[in-house]
Amino acid sequence: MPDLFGPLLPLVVIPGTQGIYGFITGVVVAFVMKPGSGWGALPGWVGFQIFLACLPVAFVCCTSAIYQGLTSVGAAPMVAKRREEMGRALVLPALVETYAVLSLIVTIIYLFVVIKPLYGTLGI
Amino acid sequence: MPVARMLKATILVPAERRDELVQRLYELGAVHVVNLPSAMEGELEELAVPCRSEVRELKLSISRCDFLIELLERFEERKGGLLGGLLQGRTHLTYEEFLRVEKEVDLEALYRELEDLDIQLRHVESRIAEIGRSVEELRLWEELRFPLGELRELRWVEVRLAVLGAGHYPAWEREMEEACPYSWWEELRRDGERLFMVVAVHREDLDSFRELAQRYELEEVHFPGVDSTPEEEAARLRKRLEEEATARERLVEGIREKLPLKPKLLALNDYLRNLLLKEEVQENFLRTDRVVALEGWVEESRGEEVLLALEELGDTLDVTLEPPGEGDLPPTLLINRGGIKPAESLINLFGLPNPGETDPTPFVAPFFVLFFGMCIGDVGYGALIALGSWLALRKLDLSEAVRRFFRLMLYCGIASMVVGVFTRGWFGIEGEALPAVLKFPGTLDVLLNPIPMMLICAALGLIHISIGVAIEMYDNMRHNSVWMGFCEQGTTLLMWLGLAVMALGAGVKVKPVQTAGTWALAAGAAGVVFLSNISSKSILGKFFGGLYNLYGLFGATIGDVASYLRLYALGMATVAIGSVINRMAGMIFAIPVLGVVLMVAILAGGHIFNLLINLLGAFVHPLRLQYVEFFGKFYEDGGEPFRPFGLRTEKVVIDDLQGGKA
Repeated sequence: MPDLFGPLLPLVVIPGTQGIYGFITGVVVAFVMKPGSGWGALPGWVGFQIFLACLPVAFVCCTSAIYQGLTSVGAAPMVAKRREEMGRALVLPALVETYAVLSLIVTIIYLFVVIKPLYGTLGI
Repeated sequence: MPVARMLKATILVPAERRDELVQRLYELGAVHVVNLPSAMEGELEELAVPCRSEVRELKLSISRCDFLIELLERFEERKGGLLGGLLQGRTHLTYEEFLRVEKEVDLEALYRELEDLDIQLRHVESRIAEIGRSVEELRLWEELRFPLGELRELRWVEVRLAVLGAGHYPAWEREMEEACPYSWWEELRRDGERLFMVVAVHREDLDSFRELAQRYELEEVHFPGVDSTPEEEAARLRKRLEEEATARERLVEGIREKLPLKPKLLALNDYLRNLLLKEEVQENFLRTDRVVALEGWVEESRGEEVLLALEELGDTLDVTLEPPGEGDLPPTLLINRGGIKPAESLINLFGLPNPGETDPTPFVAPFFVLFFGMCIGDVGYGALIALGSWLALRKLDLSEAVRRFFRLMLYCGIASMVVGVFTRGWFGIEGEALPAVLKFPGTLDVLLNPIPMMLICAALGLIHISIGVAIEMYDNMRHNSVWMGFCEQGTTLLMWLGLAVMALGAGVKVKPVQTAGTWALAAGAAGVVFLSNISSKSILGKFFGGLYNLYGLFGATIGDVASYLRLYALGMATVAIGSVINRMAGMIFAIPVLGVVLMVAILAGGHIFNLLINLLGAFVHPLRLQYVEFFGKFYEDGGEPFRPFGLRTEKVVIDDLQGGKA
């Protein structure tokens, strides 16, 4: 049904937002943590901590995106049968995204609250 | 705010005045008619008003009308998609024109004419498809220069057109040379893995040829009735194709000529559906030989008006209006005004509240708008959303539901701008590059300084779910008792209030405030343990149930409040992606000449992408916070929507009518 392209598009887009959380993490590491700019001064163990801080997003988003995709698949027939139910169908996959959002928050807290203050003490 | 109060209407009317009553109710548009036969659970089923024969005819006319509209729309030039639909505008007319439409359109004649054109069109289109397929097939044999008719009449040999898998060809050729020594074949063309050949087989060798054909999966192609060469035949068919296409164009033109009638057909469709509604509503009545009875719900504010209007019909009519009884379940109608009204659509999306519940719209509206603003958190994007919504409201011909949606988006856009000022979100421009005037005290960079924003989100979450608990307490106090409300929900609220005061006291370092908060927290916690399970019969049940409630409360509240941190994450995502787009555009700018063009393209495309993707999240996630965290505390859905019997139009707008009254 080509008519349903529009209403179904958000259901496809939503699991993709986890990719964006990964992207944000990458950007934050590159531009804010700036491991490259002070590479000589940045000790290996700080770099390793940055790597560990990224793991929540890496694993949780990867897993939750798959399950969110499955929920979207489950919600799609709802839109196919009754187009006006699009709002409700969208809320279902959003429930799964909670964990991806939490993982992003955990990663951000690690980076900014745990690791970034070390820069000051190390004189980076 | 409670939902609209309803009065139960019971109406008895002499059977011969049934139609008069239906017409009056339809004009009033104020009574939600209840299906009485089903409410009587079958015992009075034989008293149900049977369908009249007009219903079948009406349904037939409606389906013909639908067919005509669909046919005309198929050949209408219009923009597709949601935006196209919005830009198109709707059909407007006056109520008088609406009533005249049945006389103005000869549905029967129009249906016959257009149905005939449609049948012819389908035939022509199937012929075009068929000829197209034949031309495609013949095209593969255009290298064969012999007329096919002559090839069929040869005396000693039979000529076959064959397709063989290219991989089989060497083996097949070898075997043919042995098994059919008097045969001849020639490759005409290769199309991928397929080999097109003409094979002349001596009649004596035919059996061997067939046996080989089967073994090598050689496919024979026939063109029955074609006597000329494939090329000539294809040219002839192409000419026919042109003729058929002309015929199709003529038929389509014939249908398009009727396009000016579409607005009338749309109106007629709505008119007929209203006639059907008037017939079908009667299936909800009960009747005896002399009397017809119906039951319905009327909004309390319109009770007087309904009573007066029905009394005008004379004293043979009996109308009773009374408040709902013990087991009655009136339909739900949300009554909100002004700025809050647009948020009703969010409640409708979830399902209306039970008639006895509180309407959450006044609480949902501000929090949804604020949460949306926090998820976008950028002045530039907020301005774009607000501007787009404002333009849509000003320039487009929108239905009331769509208008409300855009009004909600307008508020959301403004909220995004306000939040953006405090979170220093200006099209994702990084904090260092912002002028100092935009970095006044009280604003903070969410990317570099996440903790304050997270705390604000958590505090907002606690306030939000506390309001949910307070609403449940209010409902509990209304339905049960004030004491019950205090025990079951009030203690929880006291505990959270204590927690908040304690945190505030610790924050501003005022010892007495902190102590007061601690005591309130302790009192609340004790209240939860000893009072929250007060409805349990045994003392042990009260205590341990309360203890379990306290445990559950802490666990659930931590989970709920953590869920509100998503507002921070989504707001930060908008800013972070925006800043990456700006950086990318900045890098591209270094390229001479072309750099400027590319930079503009990246900025425009990137920011629009960012806005769209975050718009989706900013709509869905605040909605989830309302539906799961907030509604979870008090909301009971299952209300039946209040749908008064009266004029309903779907396809046209009647300009001189307000509030659906006819």
